[in-house]
Amino acid sequence: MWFAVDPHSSLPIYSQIKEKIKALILSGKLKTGDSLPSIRTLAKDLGINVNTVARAYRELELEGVIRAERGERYAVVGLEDHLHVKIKQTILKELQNVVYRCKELAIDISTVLNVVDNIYNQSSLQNEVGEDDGK
Amino acid sequence: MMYKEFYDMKVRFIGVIIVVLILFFIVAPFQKFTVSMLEGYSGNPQLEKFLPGSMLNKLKEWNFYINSQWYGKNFGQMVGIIGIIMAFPLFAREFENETIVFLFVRKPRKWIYCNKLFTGAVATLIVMLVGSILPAIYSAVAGKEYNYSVVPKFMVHSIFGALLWYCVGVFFSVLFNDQVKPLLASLGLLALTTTAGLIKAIKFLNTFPYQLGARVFEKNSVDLPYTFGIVVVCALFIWLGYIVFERKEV
Amino acid sequence: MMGNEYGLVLSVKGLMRYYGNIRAVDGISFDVFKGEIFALLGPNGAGKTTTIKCVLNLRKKDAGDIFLNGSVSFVPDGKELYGSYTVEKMVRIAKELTDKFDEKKCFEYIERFQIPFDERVSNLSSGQTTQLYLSIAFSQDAELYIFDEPTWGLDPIVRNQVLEMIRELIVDGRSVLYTSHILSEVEKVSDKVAIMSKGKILEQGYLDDIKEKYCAVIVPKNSKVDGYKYKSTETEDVYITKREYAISSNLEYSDVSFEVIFEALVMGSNNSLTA
Repeated sequence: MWFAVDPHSSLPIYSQIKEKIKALILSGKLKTGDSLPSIRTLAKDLGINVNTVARAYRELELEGVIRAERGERYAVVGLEDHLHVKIKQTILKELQNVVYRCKELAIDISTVLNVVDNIYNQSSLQNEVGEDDGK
Repeated sequence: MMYKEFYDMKVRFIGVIIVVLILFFIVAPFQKFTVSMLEGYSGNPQLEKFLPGSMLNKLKEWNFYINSQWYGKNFGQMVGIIGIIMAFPLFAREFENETIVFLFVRKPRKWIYCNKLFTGAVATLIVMLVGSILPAIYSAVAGKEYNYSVVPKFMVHSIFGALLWYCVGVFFSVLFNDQVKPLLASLGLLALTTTAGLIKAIKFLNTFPYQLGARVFEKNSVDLPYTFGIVVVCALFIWLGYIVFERKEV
Repeated sequence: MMGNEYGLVLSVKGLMRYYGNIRAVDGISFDVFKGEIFALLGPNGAGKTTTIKCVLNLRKKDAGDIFLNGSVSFVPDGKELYGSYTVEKMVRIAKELTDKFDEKKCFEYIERFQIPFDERVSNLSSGQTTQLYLSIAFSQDAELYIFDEPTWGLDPIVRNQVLEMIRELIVDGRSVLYTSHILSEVEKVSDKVAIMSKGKILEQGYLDDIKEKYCAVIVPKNSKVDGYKYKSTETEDVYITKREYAISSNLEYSDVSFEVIFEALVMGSNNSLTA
């Protein structure tokens, strides 16, 4: 497993690791029961301090997102519904802030809606190319 | 550590040995030459002052020649200087280069001090042994009639004379942080004590008569009281050196 | 993996060291536990090297207690080695003098750094000398590794190799104490940091906690704020304050990078001395 971490960010590295792992779970790339790399392996692969990974794993474990197994293994438990919701709420708040900014800058509402449209309909456009869904 | 210390001393050890050998071989084979050269000058009043006629005759005798030219001159004069040369960089070099830190974090200070002191002393001892024995070896090889019994007596004077100034050198080596100062300080002290010895009351300060084996020449015996005094002074300098070393900061 | 109370490897309490009127180390305390990397971070002249030398008894302290629990492997600021030795001889001498020294490992490190074995130490570049000294230090099995500016003068790739080697050390429960004035590096590697300036420790703790502890607040110029002034614009002042304080004072705050926190604290200590 690898992802970029920024040691110079104001967000501590262990927090970045937690969020990345949660994001992987949310997006389905990590499923319940999947094995996580050992602390040592992940630290080496990411090029960071083992203690930092250990703290991330420990907190994820306390939050019930992952579970320690025999040996040095960790397994994914999953994101509780309320955690799902919490994460979604955070993203939606970010979206709110961005939309406020658009309003402040007097960007037309239709422009904004177009952006949303394009992103959401990208996947359905791809579906329509092949066959008729019968919608 | 022994190995490292011997290795670090390699250059000056070999250098000193070579100098000793050179100094020996500029006198040992040249008895006849020297005597005939001096005979050529006899009758010259200037020379009479330095070289009374009786002495010229004595020089014709191998024992007197080699002992006076070697222990009494070439080698004897170098005794203190050899001790100083073996000692002065022992600690000072490592302080100057700050490599002493490498030692300090690995071994206790006492260990470092004793180790360096000991290996330096052994090296000095070897040089003095070699130097003292040369007349005996040469005489045996060249088939000269030689009174070997004086050798151990001169040897004692050479060894202790060198060790005295070795300990002085060690003390200054510990005291200063560069290599030049211990050398100058030791040589300076040597010069100072030698000249101070001109004053009758403190004549004992002049170590040269001892180094040159004067007592052996005069009375055919080792100057035991002076030797004992040297041991005490050595112990003093070693102890002082340790105190300074223990407290030294880098 | 994190150190615990019983895994105390080094404890410094109230350390003081003066040179005449100058207080090089002015009453500092910190602890290093088993299995952690502790960085003493600060500008040049902060007193970091003096602190290290007092810990190692290379310099005497004027006050305070130092408790060292275990063997130490040390790389000094100047990386001084025996210039007349070849690289190979230097390693053999290290073996002769050092407890628990793994020669084979040392030669492997030296090979990895591509330093020629038969070169005289005095002919090595300063970067190579550092790499050699580090190779020797890493080949010693000790409880605490102390490095004084370990990556100074190394090119970026080698620097990362060294940082990786430092991270490896703590995996087996060893501890590292190192000094640096390079903040970005400290961020990459340390668990705990002590920010040192003018002989004092301004802030210390887990690096991550320090990042979370402080924040930036923007206030109208000349407001009274309990914090460190960081910048001044025409109409506003920017202060670095504790997050708790910002919340309890109802101030709007934002996250800040460790670099900004560091700058604010150090500038603050500079000003308080001239005030």
